[in-house]
Amino acid sequence: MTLLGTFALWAALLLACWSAAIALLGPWQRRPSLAVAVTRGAYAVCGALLVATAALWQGIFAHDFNIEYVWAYTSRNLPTYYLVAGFWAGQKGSLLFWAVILSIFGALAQALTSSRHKHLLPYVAGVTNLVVAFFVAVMLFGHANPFERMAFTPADGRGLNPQLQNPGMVMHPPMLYLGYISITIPFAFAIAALMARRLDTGWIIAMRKWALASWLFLSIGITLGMWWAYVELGWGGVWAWDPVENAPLLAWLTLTAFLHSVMIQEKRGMLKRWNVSLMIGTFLLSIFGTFITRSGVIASVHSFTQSDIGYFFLALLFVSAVLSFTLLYTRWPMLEAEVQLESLLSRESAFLFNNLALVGIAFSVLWGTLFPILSEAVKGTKITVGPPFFDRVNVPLGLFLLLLTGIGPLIAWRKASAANLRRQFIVPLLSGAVSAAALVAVGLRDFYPLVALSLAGFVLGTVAQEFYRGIRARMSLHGEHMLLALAHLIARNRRRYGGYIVHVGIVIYFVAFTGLAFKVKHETVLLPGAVDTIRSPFGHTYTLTHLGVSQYTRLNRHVSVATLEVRLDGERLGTITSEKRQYVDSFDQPTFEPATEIGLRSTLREDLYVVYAGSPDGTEAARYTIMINPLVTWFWIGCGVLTIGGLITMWPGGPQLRTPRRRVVAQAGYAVPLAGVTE
Amino acid sequence: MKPGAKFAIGALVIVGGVALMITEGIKQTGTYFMTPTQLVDTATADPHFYNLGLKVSAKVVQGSIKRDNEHQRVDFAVSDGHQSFPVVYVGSLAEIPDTFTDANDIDVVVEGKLGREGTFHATSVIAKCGSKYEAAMPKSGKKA
Amino acid sequence: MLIEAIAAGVVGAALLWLVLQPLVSPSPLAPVDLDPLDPEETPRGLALIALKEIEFDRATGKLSDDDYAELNARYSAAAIATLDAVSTTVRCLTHGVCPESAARFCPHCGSGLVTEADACVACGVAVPADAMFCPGCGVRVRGE
Repeated sequence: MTLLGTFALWAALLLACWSAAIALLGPWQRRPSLAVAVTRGAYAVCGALLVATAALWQGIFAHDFNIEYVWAYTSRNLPTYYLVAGFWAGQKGSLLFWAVILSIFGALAQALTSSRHKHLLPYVAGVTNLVVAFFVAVMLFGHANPFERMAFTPADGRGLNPQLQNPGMVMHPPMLYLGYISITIPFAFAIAALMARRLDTGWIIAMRKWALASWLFLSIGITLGMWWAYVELGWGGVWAWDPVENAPLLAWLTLTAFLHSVMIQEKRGMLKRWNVSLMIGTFLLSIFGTFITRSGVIASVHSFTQSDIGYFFLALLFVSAVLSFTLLYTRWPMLEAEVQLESLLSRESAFLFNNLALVGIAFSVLWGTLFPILSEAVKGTKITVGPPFFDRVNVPLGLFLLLLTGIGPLIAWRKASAANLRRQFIVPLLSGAVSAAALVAVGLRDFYPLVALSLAGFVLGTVAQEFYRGIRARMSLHGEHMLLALAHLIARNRRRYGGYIVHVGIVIYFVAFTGLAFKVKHETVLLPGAVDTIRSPFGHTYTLTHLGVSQYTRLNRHVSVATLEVRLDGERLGTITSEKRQYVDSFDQPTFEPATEIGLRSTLREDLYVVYAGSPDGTEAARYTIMINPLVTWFWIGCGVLTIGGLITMWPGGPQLRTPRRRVVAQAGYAVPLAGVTE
Repeated sequence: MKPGAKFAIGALVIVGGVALMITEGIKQTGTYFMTPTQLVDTATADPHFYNLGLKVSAKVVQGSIKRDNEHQRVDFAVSDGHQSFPVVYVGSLAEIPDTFTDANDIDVVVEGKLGREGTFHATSVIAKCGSKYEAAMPKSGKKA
Repeated sequence: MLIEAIAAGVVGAALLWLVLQPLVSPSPLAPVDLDPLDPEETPRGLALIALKEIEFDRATGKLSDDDYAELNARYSAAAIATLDAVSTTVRCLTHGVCPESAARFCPHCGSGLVTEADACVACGVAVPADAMFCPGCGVRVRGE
């Protein structure tokens, strides 16, 4: 189906260019029918790319190895679900994946946006189609057409990289892509508002769910990446500050800042310029991340082939930066703030400090990531910075941010007075102090972990108090039962209380990161029957007995598996295995370097993490790296909590005043007394 | 004082703190990242570069890897086409990634010190592999 | 091959029709029911939201009574200022609210304007001429 696929790509390119040109250069303003045609362009491009997607999957599932891409990333003996993943496993396929998802989002933005914001939609279609056109153009003109055929047909494909043959890998890139890609939609709304000169809160209301959705996708994508690195790369950590890991984090940080500061604009009409700039910055960082991932200009332990494709992205980055900021500059006077900051003791200013901290972290990560290039350009020698640099700078900043997470919700919008603050802070401070005292009592003396865990206690105290007082207020104002009050509290203030649940998720991440500071690592060579022990930081002892190494063959690999018997404080828990795998094609020829599968035994408290590093010269002895990683499971739990909170904030159904055919008093949840009006 | 001005002072403190942490952090944790030619040239000109912790990016010389399992030691040579020098790594062999072989010009990053005798004493070896680990993969290397 | 070419032709024709159909046979512009405004988009809605928030903040102990009294007075005044205003907004379907409330055609494209006369400012629901309260959300839309 390569003919149809290539045709669909060309159709998408032409349609996207046409509708983007009309939308952004503007003859539609005087012709309503043209405006309709432009927005139809978003649907048409989506349709064309769906056809191309179907064509590529058809090629993959039909094992049409005459198509270069199918040959390079799949093979006959690949399990079906990895065939699905083969679609985005390579450069070319992932470009198509990117384009089709963006066009789907673009079409959804047209379909789901309320008719009140219709005036923005042709511009939105223009921006999304322009970005889609860019991706399709890279495929067609950057030697990256996934439908390219070869002069001959190989009997079998090269297969999928074994490190990608992991359930996490089926989910991780699409999730991260969904995050990256969906950023384009809020960005398109920002540009549309600037172009239409409609800079009231309309565009923010139209796009805020999109921004939340991108944030959620990015969070899940980043966490899946951590999980994949943890179970697949065999070094027992989740985060290495590698450029490719930093890239999505950058966009995540600025988007987080945006989600907070945008509330100030909605409520107070302040920070309009800052919000538009943050949105533009987030989009540029998402393109920058793609550039880093695909160009190989920055040395990374994630190895890449050098690819010209990166320079297309550099051009896109440059052009979109110049155009967006020029547009922002011409609209600058229209973005005047409506009010000034009323008091330093207000939630507004807590949010502003939170923004500074987030952008500060983003800047330091960007600087550290780019420093090798910058130092080479300025001084002639490359200087790299590694995890020590990022930890040094970001641990204090991260803890400051955690502190603000606890402070912000305690302060009222607009202003607060000192006496009230005392009443607000007692419980959370007490909760933090009790955590600190308890940790010191059990013997924790390290500075940063102590601070981190005490702050975690402080933030949890804040959230608990917010829920408790909210429920109590509803119970006294409405005489509701406690559970009903809780349900109404969350349902009627989804963004606020969903946000608090997200904060709990973030606290859990911090706790899990703190746990990693106490990991125990140990290497050993064991003969069959030999015993080794390792002590967990929680004070108990694992006794491991090497049972032996066995070998067998599976569908697409030869496996050597080493088995350990695990005893915890003398009690037998079972066995744990770690494998060395040699992947082969259907002619039994090795296809990749040997890969390692780690052995993992997870509990809420800690993970036992075993890596079989091979046997010395064919003996039955095995070389092991054994680790105890405390609290790692809490990363995945934190991600779950964060997802639930995020979904609550996004749940459809608008703010309280909107439900029709009910009196305002009934739906507002409590009476709104107007000074000087008696009804 | 206006709230805006107070906030500006707080903001300046934060921005200044971040800037200070970044510059100090780079000064204290930055490592040179060089090719063998660059390293040998700079070290000849400025002996300060001997025994200085840094990273070298090069290719493994084909057929040069000698593993000594008993002493947990690997000897090999790296080259960038112009300069080459022997590397000795002593430490856990489990830390050496699966992808580290001398079969076909594997790219390698070694971290350690160049001794005055001309041997590079590595504390870590990270192998990068080209062709199959394509750019499209967000992550596809081995962390040593 | 032939089948693929035919499929490509069909797909291409369908997409072209989708995009060009509005240009070939433009549908007559009929007044469309616009979705109601979010409260956050109207001055009255904003003031009411702020009042609710102040009330709630006092109930949860975040605002002192003095701060509450001051803020409540300020936002009450803002809400009252919008009470008597029944909007007679006119709106173009593509260009949004038209500043000239007497206009009948959009100054940008010349298409007919939808009158939102007698729409509640808080929720956008149409209000009958003799009603004092909005049937949609219950706020007072006309003074005594």
